Amino acid sequence: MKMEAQTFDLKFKLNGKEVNVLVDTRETLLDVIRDSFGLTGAKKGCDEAACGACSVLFNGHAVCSCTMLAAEAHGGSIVTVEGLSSNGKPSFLQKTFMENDALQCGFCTSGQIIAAAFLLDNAEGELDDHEIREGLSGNVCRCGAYNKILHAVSEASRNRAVK
Amino acid sequence: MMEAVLERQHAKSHVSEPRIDARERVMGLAKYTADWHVKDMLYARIFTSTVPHGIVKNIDSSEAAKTPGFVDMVSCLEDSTLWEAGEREHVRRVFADHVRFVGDCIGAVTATTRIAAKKAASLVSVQYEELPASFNIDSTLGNSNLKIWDNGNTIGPLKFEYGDAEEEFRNSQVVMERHYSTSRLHNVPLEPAISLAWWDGDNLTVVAATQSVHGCRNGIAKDLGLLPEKVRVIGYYKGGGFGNKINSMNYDLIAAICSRRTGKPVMVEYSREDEFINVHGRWSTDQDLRIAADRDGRINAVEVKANCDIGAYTRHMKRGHFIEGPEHYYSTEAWNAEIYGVYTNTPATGHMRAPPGPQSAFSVESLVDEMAYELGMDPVEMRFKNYIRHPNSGKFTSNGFEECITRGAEEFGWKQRWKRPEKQNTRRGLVTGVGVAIGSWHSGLGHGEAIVSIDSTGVLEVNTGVVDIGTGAKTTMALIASGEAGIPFSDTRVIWGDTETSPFSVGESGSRTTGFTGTAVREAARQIRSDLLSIGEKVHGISSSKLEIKEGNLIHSGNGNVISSVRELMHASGNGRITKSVTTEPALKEGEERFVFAAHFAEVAVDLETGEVKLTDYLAYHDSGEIVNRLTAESQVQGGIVMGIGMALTEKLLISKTDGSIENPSLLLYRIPNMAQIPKIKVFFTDTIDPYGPKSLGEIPIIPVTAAIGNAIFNATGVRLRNLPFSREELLRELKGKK
Repeated sequence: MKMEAQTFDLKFKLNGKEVNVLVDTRETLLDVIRDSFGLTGAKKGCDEAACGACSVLFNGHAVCSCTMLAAEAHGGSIVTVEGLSSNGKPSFLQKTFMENDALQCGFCTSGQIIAAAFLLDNAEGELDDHEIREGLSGNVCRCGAYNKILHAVSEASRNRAVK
Repeated sequence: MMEAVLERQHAKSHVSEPRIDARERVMGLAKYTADWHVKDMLYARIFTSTVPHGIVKNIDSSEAAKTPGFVDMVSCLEDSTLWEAGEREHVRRVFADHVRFVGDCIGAVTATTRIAAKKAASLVSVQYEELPASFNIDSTLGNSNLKIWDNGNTIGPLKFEYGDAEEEFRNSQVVMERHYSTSRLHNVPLEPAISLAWWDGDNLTVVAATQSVHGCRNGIAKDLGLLPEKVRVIGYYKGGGFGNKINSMNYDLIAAICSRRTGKPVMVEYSREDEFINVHGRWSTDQDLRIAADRDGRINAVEVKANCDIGAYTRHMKRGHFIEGPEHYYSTEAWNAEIYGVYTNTPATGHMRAPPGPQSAFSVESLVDEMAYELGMDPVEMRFKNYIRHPNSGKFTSNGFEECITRGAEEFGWKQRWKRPEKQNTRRGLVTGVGVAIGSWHSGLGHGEAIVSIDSTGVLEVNTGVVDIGTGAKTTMALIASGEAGIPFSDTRVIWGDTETSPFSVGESGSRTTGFTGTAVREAARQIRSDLLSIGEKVHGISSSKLEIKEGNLIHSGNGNVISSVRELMHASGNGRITKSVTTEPALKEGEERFVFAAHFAEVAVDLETGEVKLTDYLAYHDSGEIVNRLTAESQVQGGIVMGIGMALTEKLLISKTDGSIENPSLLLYRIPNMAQIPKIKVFFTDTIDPYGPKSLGEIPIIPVTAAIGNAIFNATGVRLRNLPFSREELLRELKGKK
């Protein structure tokens, strides 16, 4: 079977804004948000949903954008790491990552933060270490910043619970 | 007394600053190579050998050329560029005409989109004349028809000897012999190999994912026959490397070659699979060890004989030191090593974090542990009795090994937690045990360059050629300058990662940046402070010997009063920017040796029914001299340990028995540790002060890990596992055998 290029007029909400773009139907969501919109926070680490570096929120759920076709996002809402900060100010979660040194090379960091944001958004009360460990086990960090990512997310969770 | 304690605590607390570039890294704003997009950019994909050993006879690109978007194809038939010409023990072409493993790069296709490039590359058809091939050490050593390299299929032996080992083995009271093995591994930087290149006339610019922009520039220039000043290498953000992005990589040359041919900027992207197959990882080892000791626990001699599967190519390993390190853990009467690197028709090997370190520590530190149990000794006592106090000749510049071992054991609670393993096999369910291992690593000194300046607003600018692959090098350089000049860290800026703007740096490999480049930064910042004091004297009429610069202020050292801010001082002087450009060349004195040391303690829980091993606690105690930034130093230690946990429990490249190809070139199948597998890792540093400044740190943390875990498994179960990664199957089999 020969796969020929077909285009699709994709409309979706990206970081709160309605956008549309003509995409090759074979293109992944990751390539489109990076190449067509210049949002390069999400990274391509494996291209097979095994590392989590490409994580974005799709209708509120953390997904791997590398194994999702761009066309699948039609009509939906996508939030990338760039969409978590406001007016150039890092979010509380991003700040806890900075202060706890929850990153080394930073290549997995966008994905870690998106996955953590999803976890926090869906937590009932304060997350315990086990929940964070399990919740982020799909996002690998080769630099091995796990202890500090755990601190950062735990701190963010405590802060939310207090509020 | 109290004062002394406070001072000691102060020394311990060190500086602890978040990364200077943390904000852009957490906000998704840091631009890694893949995040660059330049006008008219094309994409290139490599195509590779499907046979393990052969000569390329014909390449048919007619189908590939029909792909919409196809622009160009280049292969070994028209391009014979050598990669690292003259710097290897063997010749390696960028595009191999003599392919030596399944996946050896033959050529590249350039196209207008990455989808087109990938598709076209998959349609190139290559014919080969096949040659005899070997996929493991035994078949290489036993096959006289095999010719992987004309000058022989092995490197070595590397022989390393001191003392009279035979004499020690004859005269010692207890001798043990054991076999250990370690697997082929991969660095797995999360950012796969990538390079972007474009030409402007005969000037080449490369945006590289390199661990060293200057090393990359010099390598590219040499291989393409260009003057170094004609090549600019930019590398601001990297997604890790751990030794497999050192200097210029073949994909940098491929980007440059494809760009020269097409006249357009070209980005070469490796898939994760390409990265696993086409970028080197760690070699495997087969090691036979002997140890001789007396009943009191004194180790008299160690002997290591090893064959290492180094794949079809090896990088930067001319000396053949495939096993190295443990000769600097213990003061033995004799040490004897005989090491061979054995070529096979499998992917290349080369540097991965402390290249020979963890393989060597695994065997030696397991065997020392076996000897401790044989003698009925506490394994920590065994280490304490034998750890290296002084090198064979001469002296260490500093040695905090004793503190690592004794304080580490105290902090871990070793005495309370360690129990002799007895009748473990009668138990069921979950059993726990603890293990210890030690290690050391070299801590080099060498050429450093830095430009440090202070401008009229009092902002300190630190310009070095570091790239910061995640080590925190930028932050470290800024902290050294800020501390030495007396300017707040918040008023310190860094310039880095571009050969056009920054002076030379060795780059982030060999644990060298702080010792090499950092020394130049310190000296340049010292000169800045000295100039500020002279200006203070001129402006305020107070002798500079009575002045200090602290936290951005000029201070009267007699009464501690602030005279003015540095900003006001700079303004008053009317001087404008002060710049110090410094080159340093620190060298050890005759007979001096400079090393870092560590002791690691692990606790495991082993499920006797399933064989599952879980790390439940980990503690590392390190002597790396003065710690510049406690926060990032701790991160580096934890990171090395996480990588070591992968080596111990899950990581292994599976090499096909039928064609030597990698059977698991995927993160789904090659399992690096995830968060759920990692325990709390406590990190301590000694107070050691080395006369030459901070010592090395990046590599040593991975060295003792596998043995510490294996020794804990033995303590928990009574089963000694001698092959990495430790397998549940082997553990269950051994447990069964003991019943």
